[in-house]
Amino acid sequence: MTEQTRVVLVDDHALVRAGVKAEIGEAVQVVGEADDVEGAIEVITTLEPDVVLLDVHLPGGNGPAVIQGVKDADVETCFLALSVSDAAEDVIAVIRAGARGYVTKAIDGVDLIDAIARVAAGDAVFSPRLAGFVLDAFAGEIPLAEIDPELDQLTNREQEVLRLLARGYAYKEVASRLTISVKTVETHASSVLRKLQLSNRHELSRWAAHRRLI
Amino acid sequence: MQTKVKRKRPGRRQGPDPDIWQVPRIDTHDRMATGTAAGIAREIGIDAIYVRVSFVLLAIAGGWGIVLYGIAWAVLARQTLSDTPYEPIPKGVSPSVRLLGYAMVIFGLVVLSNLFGTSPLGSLVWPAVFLGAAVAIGLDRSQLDRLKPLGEFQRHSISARLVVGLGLLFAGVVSASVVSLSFWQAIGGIAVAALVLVGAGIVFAPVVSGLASEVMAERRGRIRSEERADMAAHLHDSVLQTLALIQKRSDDAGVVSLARRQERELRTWLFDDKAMNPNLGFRAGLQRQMATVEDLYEIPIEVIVVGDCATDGDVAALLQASREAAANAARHSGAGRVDVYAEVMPSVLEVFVRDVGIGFDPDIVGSDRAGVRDSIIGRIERHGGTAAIHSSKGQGTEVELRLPRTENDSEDPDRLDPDQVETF
Repeated sequence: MTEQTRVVLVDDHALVRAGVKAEIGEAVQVVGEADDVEGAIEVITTLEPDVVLLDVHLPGGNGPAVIQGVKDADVETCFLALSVSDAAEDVIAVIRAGARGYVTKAIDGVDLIDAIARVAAGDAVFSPRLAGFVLDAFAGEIPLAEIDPELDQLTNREQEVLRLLARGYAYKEVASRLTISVKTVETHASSVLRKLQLSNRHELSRWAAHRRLI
Repeated sequence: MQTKVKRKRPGRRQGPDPDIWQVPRIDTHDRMATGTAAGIAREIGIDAIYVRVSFVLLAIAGGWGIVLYGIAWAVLARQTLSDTPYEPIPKGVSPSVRLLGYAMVIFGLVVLSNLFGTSPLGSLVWPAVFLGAAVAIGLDRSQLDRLKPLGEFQRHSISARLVVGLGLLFAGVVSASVVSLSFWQAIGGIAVAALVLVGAGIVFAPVVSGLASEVMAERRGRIRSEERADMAAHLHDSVLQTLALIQKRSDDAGVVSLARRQERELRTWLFDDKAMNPNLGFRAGLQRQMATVEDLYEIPIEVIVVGDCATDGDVAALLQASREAAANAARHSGAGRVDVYAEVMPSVLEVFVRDVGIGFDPDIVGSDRAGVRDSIIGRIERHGGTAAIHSSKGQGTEVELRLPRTENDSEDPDRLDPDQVETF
């Protein structure tokens, strides 16, 4: 890449931001930071970065609120969710709001830089955990189908790809295992993401709120 | 008690099902006075005019109509009941048969009231009716109320019950005071006083105790869950973040492993109630097994589980074979982490344990690998499953475990296999 990817960090913990910045600062250009929903929307709409690293939980709303706010302001950027959260609903909610991927904060610097580059190029980033959540969602374990009968089912190939990703295979390894190209793996991953995102957003947030009440 | 005729048996309120008895609702659209008669008529399935006429008839025949109307009005549900968990009671007969029955009951009531109105017993009939109604309302409603949470309907029913109960008790006492015959004064006075006391106890005891305990229980539950949500949010923002940071930034393997364990335990407590349950399902069981390996060998294990099922002897064997596979990966592979993926499918359970470490040539299985044969392949095969190990030098290792799911546990001949009582 001739020009460095411009990245905004959104996390309510200064320590976490500092830590992430130290790890990726060499490879990408961190142009801005924010620690709450309002600030994040302002920084992102002003700076129009290539990629936003977005914490799932934020004061003043959550990750999906930031994505919605930026969308409403008509700014094009890519979101990569970065969280310690393990709650499947929260992760699926932020993906459905429009994030292009989800990685946990335990990810090492090299992998994170790789993930940022992938998102910037318009591809999807599936950590094993996200792949598991998505399989769960489509299998009905997380009852997405109930609230959203229009949710397209995954094709067999997409399921195969997701299963291998959940087993810890890198895209390259998935490709050689299924004897397809890495590009095809990326296409499958993106189409899974699109299927999740196409369905009704409002219903999901209501469902998520309901689930947390129980 | 004749009033039962008016107060329909409660039925399940899942939409308007005309074939199941439900509490009649006041019909505010088709009303002459309060809509009570129309509501009753609609529930029985007859024309409202019959009910109205019968109330008038009963009112003429000694005032019963007024009393019954008042009771019906106070008792009938005025709101939409959406979630009353009563057993449905089918109506069984056709509307014309119901009309006939209704007419017979009204006729009987008119005759009875005329009968009592002229006999010396008449002076006791009123107090008895009032108190009986009070008792019936108290009993019936207190049972209904126990079946559902405190909601709009119950608040209405409590106020209605208080008003009606108080009114009836007052009427009972007044009626008793007009009993003037000296003979009846002695016996009737005592009987009425006793009835008043019993009625008061029955009417008010469930209201007071039920209301108090329900309100208390609900408030306590709400406070507890609010506290827990607050604490979860706080811990998530502070401690979990810090623990994640320690794992990333610390060079001391012991500290990293401690932070990882703390993070996992805290997260389990915060997000996964089921994992705290000693009756572990497959998902929680696998997570727990992998947690022990993680702690033992100080290596991160990413556990992804799709679906869940109950644990039986076979599943327990699968869990332990998985644990062995992960322990092998942690011991021998030299990889930085182990990936475990499990999926519960309708007919089969699958577990994949994968590392990207040094690998080995499966054809040249050394004597030190005998443990693999026994503890992984042998164990899973004894329980009707299959195991495959894919590995090659420098390419990492993946262990695939498959266990067909049995529909009926009792068919399993291997239930008392020592594997399942083995402890780690």
